[in-house]
Amino acid sequence: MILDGIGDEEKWLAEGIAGIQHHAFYMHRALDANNLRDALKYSALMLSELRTSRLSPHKYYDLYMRAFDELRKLEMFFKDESRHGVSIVDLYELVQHAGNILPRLYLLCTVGSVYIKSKEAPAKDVLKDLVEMCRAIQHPMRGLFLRSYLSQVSRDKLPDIGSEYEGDADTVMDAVDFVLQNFTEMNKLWVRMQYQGPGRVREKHEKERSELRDLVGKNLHVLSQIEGVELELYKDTVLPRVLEQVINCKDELAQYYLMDCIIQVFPDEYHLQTLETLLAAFPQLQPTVDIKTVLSQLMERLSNYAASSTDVLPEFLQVEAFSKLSSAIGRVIEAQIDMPIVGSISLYVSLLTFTLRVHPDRLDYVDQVLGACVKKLSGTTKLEDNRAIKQVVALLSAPLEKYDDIVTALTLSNYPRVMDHLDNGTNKVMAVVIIQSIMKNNSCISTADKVEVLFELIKGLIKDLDCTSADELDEEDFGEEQNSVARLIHMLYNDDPEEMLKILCTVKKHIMSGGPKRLPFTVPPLILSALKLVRRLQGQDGEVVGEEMPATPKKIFQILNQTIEALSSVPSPELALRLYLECAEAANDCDLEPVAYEFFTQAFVLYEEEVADSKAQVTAIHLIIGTLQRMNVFGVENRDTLTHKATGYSAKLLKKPDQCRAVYACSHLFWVDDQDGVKDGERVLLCLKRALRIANAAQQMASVTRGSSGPVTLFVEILNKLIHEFCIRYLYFFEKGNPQITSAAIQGLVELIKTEMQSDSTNVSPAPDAFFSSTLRYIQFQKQKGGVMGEKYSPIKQKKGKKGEAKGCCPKKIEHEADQLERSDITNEHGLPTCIENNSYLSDGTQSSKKSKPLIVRIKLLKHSEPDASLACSPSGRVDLLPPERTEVVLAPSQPSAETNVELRQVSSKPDQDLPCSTSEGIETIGQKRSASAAFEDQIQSEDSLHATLIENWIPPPIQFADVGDGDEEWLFGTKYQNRCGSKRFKAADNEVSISRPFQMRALRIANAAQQMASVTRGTSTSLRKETPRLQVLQSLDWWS
Amino acid sequence: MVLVLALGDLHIPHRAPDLPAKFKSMLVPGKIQHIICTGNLCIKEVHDYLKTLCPDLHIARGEYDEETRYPETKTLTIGQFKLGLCHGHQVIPWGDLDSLAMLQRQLDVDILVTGHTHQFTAYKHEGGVVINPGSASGAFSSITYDVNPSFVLMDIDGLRVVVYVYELIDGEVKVDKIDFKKTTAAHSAH
Repeated sequence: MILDGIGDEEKWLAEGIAGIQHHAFYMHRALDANNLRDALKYSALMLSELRTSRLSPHKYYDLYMRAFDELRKLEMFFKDESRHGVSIVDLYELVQHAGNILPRLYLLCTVGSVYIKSKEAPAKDVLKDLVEMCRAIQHPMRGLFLRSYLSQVSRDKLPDIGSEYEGDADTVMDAVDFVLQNFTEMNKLWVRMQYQGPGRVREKHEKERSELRDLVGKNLHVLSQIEGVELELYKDTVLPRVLEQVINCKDELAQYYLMDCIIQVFPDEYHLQTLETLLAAFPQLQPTVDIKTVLSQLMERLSNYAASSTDVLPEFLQVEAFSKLSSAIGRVIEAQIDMPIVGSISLYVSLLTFTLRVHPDRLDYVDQVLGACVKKLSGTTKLEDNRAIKQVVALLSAPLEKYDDIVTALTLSNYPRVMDHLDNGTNKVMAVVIIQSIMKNNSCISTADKVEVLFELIKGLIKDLDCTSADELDEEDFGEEQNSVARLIHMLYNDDPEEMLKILCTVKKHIMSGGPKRLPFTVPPLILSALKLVRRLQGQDGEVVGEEMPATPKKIFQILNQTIEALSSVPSPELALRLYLECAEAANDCDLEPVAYEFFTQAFVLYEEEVADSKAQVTAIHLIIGTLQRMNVFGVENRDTLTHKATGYSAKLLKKPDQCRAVYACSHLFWVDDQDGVKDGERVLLCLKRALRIANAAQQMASVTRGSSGPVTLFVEILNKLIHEFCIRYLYFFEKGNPQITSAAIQGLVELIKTEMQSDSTNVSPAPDAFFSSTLRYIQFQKQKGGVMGEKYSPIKQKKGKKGEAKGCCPKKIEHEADQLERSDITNEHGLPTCIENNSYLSDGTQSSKKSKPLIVRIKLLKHSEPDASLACSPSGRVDLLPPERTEVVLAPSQPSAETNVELRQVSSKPDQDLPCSTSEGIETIGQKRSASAAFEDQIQSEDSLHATLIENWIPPPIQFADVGDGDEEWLFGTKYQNRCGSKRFKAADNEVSISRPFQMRALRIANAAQQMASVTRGTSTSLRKETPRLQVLQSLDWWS
Repeated sequence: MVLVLALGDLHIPHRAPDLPAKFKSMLVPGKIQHIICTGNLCIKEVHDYLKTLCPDLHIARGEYDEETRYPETKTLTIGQFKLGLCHGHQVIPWGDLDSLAMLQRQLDVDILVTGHTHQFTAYKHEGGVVINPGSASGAFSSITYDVNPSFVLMDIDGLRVVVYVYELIDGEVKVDKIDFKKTTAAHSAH
C-alpha cells in the first residue's frame, strides 16, 4: 500500500505499521494453514511497507523492527520443510519471484539463512550470492537496513573457526570477506546519504546520518566477534581493508566514527601490534576530522591496557609505542594546520598520560612531551584561550599526580618553560597546585638546588610578575596563596645542617624579593624553620669548634636578624617583635649572650618606636616579660639593663589595670627559682608595691568617675580583680621562700581587700567576690597541707581559719565579722612609729651623693601626714591616716552620688591643702620617697611593722598619674642602678663617651661589647658607624691621660 | 555525656604545615559537641576547619592570631562544670602552675585550659583541674623541646570528667586517660 504524500511523519509511520499488521495477519493465517504461496504473497506485501522513503531513520527503524519480528516467524516456517513441502533449494528460487526488489531481497536473505543452516550448499557461496544481490538496492536508507538485516541473520552462520559451518571449502577468510564486503557497501551507502536532499536540510540529514552509524559500525563489531580473526589476519587483511575504506570515503563524519569504532571494538593487544598501520591512517584523514579525540581514545585505551597487567609492558617497549605515538602526533599536528592550539595540547596531554602510565620510569619521555608542547607553543607568548589554558594545566598536573615526589617534576627541564606560557593568574593556580601536591604527598625537598628550581616554578606566588595585577588581587585569595607558600617552607628540609642552611639561604633570597605584602606571611615560617635548625645544632656546637664550620648558630642568627629586620621595615612591627623574642630565646639556649642581647635590643626598639596601639602594647609587654623571665644567659649588667627597660615600659602602659598587671608580672624578673643569681626579693617587693599603688590609683579613678554611667561597673570589677591578684602575687612569692614577703603582709592585704569590697557592697559583682573567696580557700588549703609550707602559712592561721570557714556557710554574716576583725587589726597593727622608716633608710647607706635627701624626705613625709591627721577618722591617731583618700573612697558610695561629686570636686580643687603630693612639687618627692621606702623595707624585721609599712607605702598620694614622667623609670632601680654605669643606656651601640674618668674603662668595655655584638649579629661587615663609639672612647681616654 | 575537644597552638602555617594526618582522620564532624581552642591557630583557614568539626567553637586569643576579635580569656559552662580558657602568654612565668592556679581562681572555674608551652600537662589543683592540651600540630616551641602533637578530649558526664589525651609519638597515636570528679560542696556557694 502506497501512502499519498499528505500528513506528517507520525501519520506515515502509523499507516506503515497498520499496513504491516494488516498483511502480517493474513500471513499468519497462511502460515497456520501451511499455505506457502499465500505466506509468500502476504509477506512480500508486508515487506513492501519498507519501501517508503518518507520516514526519518528513527521512524524507519521502528517500522523495520516490526517487519523483522514477522520475518522471524516466516523463517521458522521456512525451516520446517514438512510444513511447506518444498526443498530449501527450490524455496531459494521461489522467493525470487516476488514482484518488488526490496521484499524479494528480504525474503531471499531469510531463506538464505535457512539455506546455510541446512548445509545443502557451502555457506560461502550463499553468503557471496546474498551480499552481491543486495547491491540491487541503492537507496541509502533502505539499503542500509537491508544489509543490516543480512548481517543480522547471517552473523551466527558465518564459517568461523570452531563453528559448524566451517568446512573444507568454507574458511574464516570467507566469513571475513563477506563481512568486509557488506561493510564496504554499507559505508558507501551511508556516505552517499549526505549528498541527498537540498542544502537547507543538510543539518537534519547529518543528524539522521549519525543516527544510522551504528548500522555500519555493527559490521566491525561482527568482525571483532569472529574467533578466527587472529592477530595475523587482522594485521594483514582486516585492518588494511577497513582503513582503506575509511580513508577513501573522505567523509568527515564517517572517518571520525569509524576510526573510533575500530579503536573501540578490537582488542588493545591488536592495536598495540598494528600501531604503525593504524597511526599512519590518521594524517590521511580529512583535515576537519576531530583526530585528537580519537587519538586520545586510543592512547587512553592503551594506557589502561598497560595498567591492567605488568606482563604487557614488555610489548609496549618492543613495539616502541611511545616513539610511534609521539611521531604520529607530530605528523597529525603538522598535517592539520587548522587545528586549534587547544587540540594539539590535548593531544600532548593524552600522550603524557600514556607515557606516565606505560613508562613511569622514563622521565626523559615526559620531558620530551613537554618539550614538544613548548615547541608548539613557542610562537605564542601567553595563552588566552581558556580551554587551551585548561589543557596546559592538565598537562602540568599530570606528572604531579603521577609522581608522589614533586622532586621528579623539578628535574623536568621543560616544565617551567611550559608554565611560562600561562597567564599570571593561571600560573599562580598552577603554583598552588604544585604546592598542594607537595603537601598532599608530604614530600620533602631536600637540596638547595631543588629548592631553587621549585621557587622558580612558583615564582608567580613569590613575587609580583608585573606591577599591574598587584592591586586587583583579592585580599583573601592572596592570603590563601601566601599561606600555602608558608606551608611549603616547612617541607624544605634536610638532615644535614649545612645543606639545610643552604636551603634556608635560598628560601630567604627568594622570599625577600616578595615585597611588603608577602613578607608577613613568608618570614615567620622561615624564621621558625631556621630556629629548628639552630636547636639541632645546639647540641653539636661543643664538638665542632672553628670558623670553617659554615652552619653555626651564630651564622644562622645573622641571617635571622637580617630577615626580621626586613619584616620590621615592612612594617609589621608586632610580628617582628615576636620573632625577635623567639630568636632571643633560641640564642639564650645556645649560650650566646651578645646575640640574645641584640635581639632584645631590636625588640625593644620596635616596641618603643613602632608599637603604638595600647592593646598591642599590652600583649607585647607580656611577651617581653615572659621571654626575659626565661633568659639565663645574661650577666648582671645586661640583665639589669633589660629588666629595667621592661619594667619601665610596664609602668607606662596606657590603662591602669594593664599597667598594674604588667608591673606585677615584672616581679618575676627578679626572682627565678632555678637561677641563683636572680633572687632579688627587694625589687620583687618594690614591683608589687608599685603595682599596688597603681591599683589604688585606678581604684580612685573609678570612684571619681563612678558618677558616670556604663562601663564604670565593669571598671570596678577589674579593679577589684586587680587588688585580689595582688593577694595571690604575695602568696606566690611567699611560698617560694622570699624573705621579703611575710604573712603579715598578706594579712594586711586581705584586710584591705575586704574593706574595699565592703565599701563597694552596693554594686559588687559576684566575679571578684568569688575570686577572693576562692583565694581565701587556697590559703586555707595550703595551711592544711602542713609541712614546711603549712608552717609558713601558720601565722595567718587563726584569722583566716575563721573567715574561710564562715565564708562557706553564711557570707553576709562573715563580711560583718570580717569587718570587725579588720578594724581591730588596724588598731593593733598600725602603731609603728615613723622613725623606724628613717632609721632604716639611713642604715641602708645607699649613696653618698644622696645624703642630703633623707632630710627632704622626712620633711615631706611629715607634711604628708599632717593633713592626714586632720582628716583622721580611723581609731588610732596618726598612723592610719595614710588612708585619707581611702576614707573618702569608703564613704563616697554610701552617700548620694551628687553629694559625693561635690565632695570630690572639693578635694580636687584644693589639692595643695588636702593632698600634699599632688602637685609638681610632689613629683620629685615621690621618687625619693620611694627609694627611701625601698631601702628601709628590707631592714624591717617585725611582721607587724612590715604590715604597717605595707599599708604606709601602698597608699599613694592621689595623683599618681602625674609621675609617669622621665624620672619614672628610676623608681625601681633608683639606688642601685645609678652607681652602675650611668652612661650606659639601653642600646649598647648608642653609648656615648662618659664624662667622668672612672667610667672610661667601662665605657670602653661597653663599646667593645657593642662592637662584638654587631659583628656577631650582623655578619663581619661592621659598618663604620658602629665603630664610632669605640673611637670616641679611645679618644677621650687619650685626653684624660 | 558531652564530648569537648580541647586543642591549641597549631601555629599553622608559621610553624607547621598542617595538623598531623592521623589526627585529621580521627577528628570527624558530628562527634564533638564543643571545641575549646587555646589560640594561635593562626589563620582563618584553620578556624574554618575547626568550625566544620563542630560549630560550637570557643577560642581564646594567642599572640600570633591574626584574628584580633578573639577574647583574651573566656569562660563557659558545660553541664555541671565551669570551664576557663586562656592562651597563657599573659600568665608569667609561662606554664607556671601557681600562676595558672591563680588564673583559675580568678576566673572561678573548675577546669582551666591554657596553652602556649606546647606541652601537654594536666594538674589536679584545689579541687579543680588545670589542663594544657599541648600543640595539636606539634609546633616548634622555644619553651618545650621535642614537642609531640597532642590534643585533649574531655568527656563530661554529670560531676565526672574523663580527660583523654591523644599524643602522637613516633607516628603512633597514644591515648592516656585521667579521671576527675568534682566535689559539689566547694562551689555550691555560688
